[in-house]
Amino acid sequence: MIGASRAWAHARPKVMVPAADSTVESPKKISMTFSEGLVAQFSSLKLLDGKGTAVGHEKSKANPSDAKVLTLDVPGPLPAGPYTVHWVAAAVDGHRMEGEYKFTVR
Amino acid sequence: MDKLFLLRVLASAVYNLAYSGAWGALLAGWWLAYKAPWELRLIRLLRGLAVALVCALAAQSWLLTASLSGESGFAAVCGLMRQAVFETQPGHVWAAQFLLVVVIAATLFVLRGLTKRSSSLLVIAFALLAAFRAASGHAASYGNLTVQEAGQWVHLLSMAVWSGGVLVSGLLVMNEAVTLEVQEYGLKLSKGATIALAGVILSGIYNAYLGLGGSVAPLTRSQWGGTLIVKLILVLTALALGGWNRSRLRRGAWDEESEKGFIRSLRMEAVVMILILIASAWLANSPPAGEM
Repeated sequence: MIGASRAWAHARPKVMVPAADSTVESPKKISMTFSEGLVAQFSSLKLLDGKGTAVGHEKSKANPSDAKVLTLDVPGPLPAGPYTVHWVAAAVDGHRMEGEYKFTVR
Repeated sequence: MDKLFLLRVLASAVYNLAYSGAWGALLAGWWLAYKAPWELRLIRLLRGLAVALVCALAAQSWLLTASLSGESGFAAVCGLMRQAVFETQPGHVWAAQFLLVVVIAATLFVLRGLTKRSSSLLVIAFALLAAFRAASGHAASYGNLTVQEAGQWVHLLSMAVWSGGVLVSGLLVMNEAVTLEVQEYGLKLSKGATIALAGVILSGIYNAYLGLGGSVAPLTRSQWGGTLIVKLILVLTALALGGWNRSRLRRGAWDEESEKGFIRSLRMEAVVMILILIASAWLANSPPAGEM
């Protein structure tokens, strides 16, 4: 029991694809893995271009085999430039967190 | 400060007080051997506390929906409640708690008095309610039926037995002290509180370790840590008052002055318990320090 080192936590981002502040080729998909299981119905990812306009109308999806993962399909190749991923993570402990991170398409 | 946060703390505090009070009423019934007029008084108290639990949980369904959705308007949240309750895991756990509390409340209104048999059934029901509660808070982030949830279940139960016994004894039973063998009752209370306290301390240390993420540094750097320090000071105050009363009870000589002193200390301890339960509600609704 004492060996546990993880804090009681609300869902926080652990792994982002593309990574935060990275410069990449246009991705086909945005994927985020959180520290806790998510309540899919109230969690989401949204992709915004450099002007803050939403890219596409796709809705993010929960991974049926891993409740900690959210993905968002990207419509077609993205023009070069900066992009922002806005995320909302509603955790199973009933608490909600949101935030954003940036990446650049070369 | 965020209005929704304060409402969540308020609903949790009402729940904590009512839940602890229910355990206190069940224990008082046992210690008073379900004699008249206590079997009726305690069932009335339990009915009132069950209604308070129903109200607190009803408010929490709205607050859970607001928390999950990020909405704060009354109508907007009401429109999402069905989805939050019926389609999400925290909603299902809430629904299980609500159904159980409604069944407990209905049963209490049917019962004519508190008996040993009805008390035993209520103990099982309230212990089950704590299990659902443990599955709906921070410990739920570890998954279902985990050691963390078991630790939280033990903490909720032992805290309710300790605080509830003191609350009901100090604020209700001792109002009728002239009709009681106060020293004999006090010794039963002291024994029960000591056993519960062992559970509170062990599970409390484990929960604090999880909440702090294995480090004491966040204690002084976060609201969660600050509230935990306040709770610890309050627990130590209650411990000191309880310890003082325990030594008073075990002294050979018992006179009117001893009795007055015992009741005075017990009432002070009951007030401290109310503050501890409010601090617990604050902690349950704050982001744990270990993630800050």
